[in-house]
Amino acid sequence: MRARALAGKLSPVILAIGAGAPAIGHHSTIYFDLDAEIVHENVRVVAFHVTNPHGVLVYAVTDDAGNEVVWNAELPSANFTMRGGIFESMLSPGDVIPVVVGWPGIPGRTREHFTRLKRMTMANGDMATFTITSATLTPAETG
Amino acid sequence: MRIVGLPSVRDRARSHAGVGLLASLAIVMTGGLLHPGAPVHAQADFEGIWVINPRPGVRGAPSEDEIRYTPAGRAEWERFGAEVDPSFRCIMPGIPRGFTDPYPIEIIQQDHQIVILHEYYHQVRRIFMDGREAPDYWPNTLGGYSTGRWEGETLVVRTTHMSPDNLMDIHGRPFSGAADTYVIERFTRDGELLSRIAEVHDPTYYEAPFVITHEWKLEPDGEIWEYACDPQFGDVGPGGAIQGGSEG
Repeated sequence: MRARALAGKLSPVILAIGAGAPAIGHHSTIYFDLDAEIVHENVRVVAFHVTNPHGVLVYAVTDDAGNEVVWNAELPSANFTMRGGIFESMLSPGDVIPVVVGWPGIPGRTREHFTRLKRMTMANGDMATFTITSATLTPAETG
Repeated sequence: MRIVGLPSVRDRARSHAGVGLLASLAIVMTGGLLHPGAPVHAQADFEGIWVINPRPGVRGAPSEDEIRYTPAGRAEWERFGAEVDPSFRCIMPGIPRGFTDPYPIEIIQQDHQIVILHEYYHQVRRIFMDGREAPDYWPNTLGGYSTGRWEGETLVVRTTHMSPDNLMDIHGRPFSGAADTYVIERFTRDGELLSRIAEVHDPTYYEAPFVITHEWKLEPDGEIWEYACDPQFGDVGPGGAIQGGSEG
């Protein structure tokens, strides 16, 4: 059973999921641990950019000491993200995302507090899921 | 069938002293209409828009334990990091780094050349099919210089003149771009699938050819999108030092 971090708190849960690396070569396999997950809850959006070569979700969480820590989550390219129905206009600074799950950056290969976005559950219940080279938006009513 | 014994582009260019380079470019730009080589008619139809077919079994790039680096190659690989990753700076991958390009491509076949239009960085790749060779003045470039021939229904492409500033693959493995580097690709079509096996020969950094496989499926309703790239991602990406956004 997967334990969840306290709401809004930085107690990210890093899970070993054994997902393995994708068949298609991509640089993500050298920067991120694709066999683990890191989960944050009730994060506050700082910025959301859908761009090439990669988009970025910047979000803030509060650690156990009450300090705000900013994380960056890399998205697939804008071309793949938008093909999946996910656009920059969907998130604005200040929005709260209930759940953000990412593949953790490998220490020494990425800077601190950097992940590769795997999925996020929006406030309206929609779920955005990502692979290395694709994105999918699942509306809440069918999720 | 391989076309041999044709007057080279170089000889024709040099016969027009003072405009040799422009003449050669004009020859290429006019689609080889002035080129003396006899184009070879296509032996297979590769035309159309193709999208990546990521089925299990398509190996892509070799795994780390399959790669046989030379000492120089391993040392260069260990120096690679996010801060120097060209894909974060909007530098097109070219050849060989682009061999695992996951974006759609469009192939257009003409008698004298096969053109591959990549969505990824809007790369345009020309594979000359009329027997020409790279002119002596041809510089090393990210895309190199490609010539092709048919072996039955298999398209065999040889690429040289690749830039030493390039990398072997999207993971950042090194590529020397030395004069003895070359690539042999074999494209075959099976129904709606197009496969490619590429062998990259780089004896400076690898003790054996670096083999990369790729497969596409035909997408009749496929679209080639614009790939607008923000080079500032290098500052906010894995190797950057700037937050990717600001309070707003």
